[in-house]
Amino acid sequence: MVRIRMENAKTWKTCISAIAALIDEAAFKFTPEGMRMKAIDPSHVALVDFELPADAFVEYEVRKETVLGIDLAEMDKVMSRAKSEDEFVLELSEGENRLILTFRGKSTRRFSLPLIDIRETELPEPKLEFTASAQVSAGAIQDALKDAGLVGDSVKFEISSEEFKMSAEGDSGSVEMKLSKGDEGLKKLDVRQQARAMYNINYLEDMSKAASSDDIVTVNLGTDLPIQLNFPMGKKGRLSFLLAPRIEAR
Amino acid sequence: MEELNRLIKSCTRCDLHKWRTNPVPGEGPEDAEVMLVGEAPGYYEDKEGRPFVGAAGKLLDELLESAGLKREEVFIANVLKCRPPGNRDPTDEEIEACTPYLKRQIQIVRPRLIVALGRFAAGVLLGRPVSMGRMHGTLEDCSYGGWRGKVFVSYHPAAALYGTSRELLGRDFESLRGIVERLDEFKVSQQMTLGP
Repeated sequence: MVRIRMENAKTWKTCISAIAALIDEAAFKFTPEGMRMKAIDPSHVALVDFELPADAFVEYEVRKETVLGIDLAEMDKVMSRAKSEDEFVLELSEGENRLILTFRGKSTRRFSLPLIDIRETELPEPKLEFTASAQVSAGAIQDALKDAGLVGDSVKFEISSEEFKMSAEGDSGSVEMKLSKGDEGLKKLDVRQQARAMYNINYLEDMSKAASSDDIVTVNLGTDLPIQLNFPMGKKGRLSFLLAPRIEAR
Repeated sequence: MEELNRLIKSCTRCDLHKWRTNPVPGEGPEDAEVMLVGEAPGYYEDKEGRPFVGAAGKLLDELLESAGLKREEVFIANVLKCRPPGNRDPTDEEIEACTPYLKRQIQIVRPRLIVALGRFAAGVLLGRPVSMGRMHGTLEDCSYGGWRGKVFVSYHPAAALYGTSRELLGRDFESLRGIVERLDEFKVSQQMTLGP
């Protein structure tokens, strides 16, 4: 049996929207301890790790480990119909092999989605040693990505002991966003060694949909390594993305 | 690259493996600045398991020299790693099955410039039909398998053996010389992946 209830649909709706932009289908594993979904995009450039412990839900009834194969595009369509303040219930209709999604607000709306068979794939687990980390306002990152998109399709991240920087350049010009120690948008800097790397803007824009502008995102970086973006989900959950870099010629 | 070559040598992803004598993964330094991409192995390549041997290979060596390059400093690959019987045109299924290997080779080598040898290789790399009469000798922007940079379009050396003027081919490689001399100016980047 799987039945989970959330006070409002906002968290699930936001996460599914961000994940569905990268991945078509995924296996959600429900255990008595909580829910976890880990998946990689078809081109193996981005990895998603979404985790919500049982106590992140108002109600969480999972008696044994259950893996649900979900078509994320279909689920995203349904979740887009939820109002953020709607109470949200997800349950498994076992006999029918379907998911029932219920939104309770001014009215009660029930959607039914077929489950899909998903072949289990081995996910890469790159061993990464990040040398710099920053806690940054999601709004600052979202704005910087929009700015960078005006001049190119890649953006460079740099973290030094003094600042967090995003920059881009292209044929039409260049753009730079800096957050220095003490700036409102930069909550914390933790730098063992200065780091810089370049990433595709489209992927980052999709990932950044997981945050509201006033959320704080943790950015983990190493020179020419994948970037890790951690979005807190309430007090107990997390949505984490890993994105492979673009590397310039030797 | 060693692991990739091992995969290519044991590949059965399309029917071409049934007819091949040897697959031809490609060869050259992993840090080559220039990568040459041809269509598919021919009769002699299939026998030896090496790219561009035989008459076309000999001509390629001469052409490379005219461009100021030595064979041992460029990476040479083909779109298809196995010979199509009778040197027929590759099918869409064969291309789809084989191009992940070429993409991986480009990702490993990360060249500053790719030279597309012939209409077929140029079409695959540029993702559009190519008119050699119009495009040979030109430098094109290319985004292929995560690699972004410039592709120089040239006739295939074998074309000179089957009618296309040797002079046209020679001119392509002479203009390549000028391009090779300014490789440092080219902006090239490669989208990496998190795993194979």
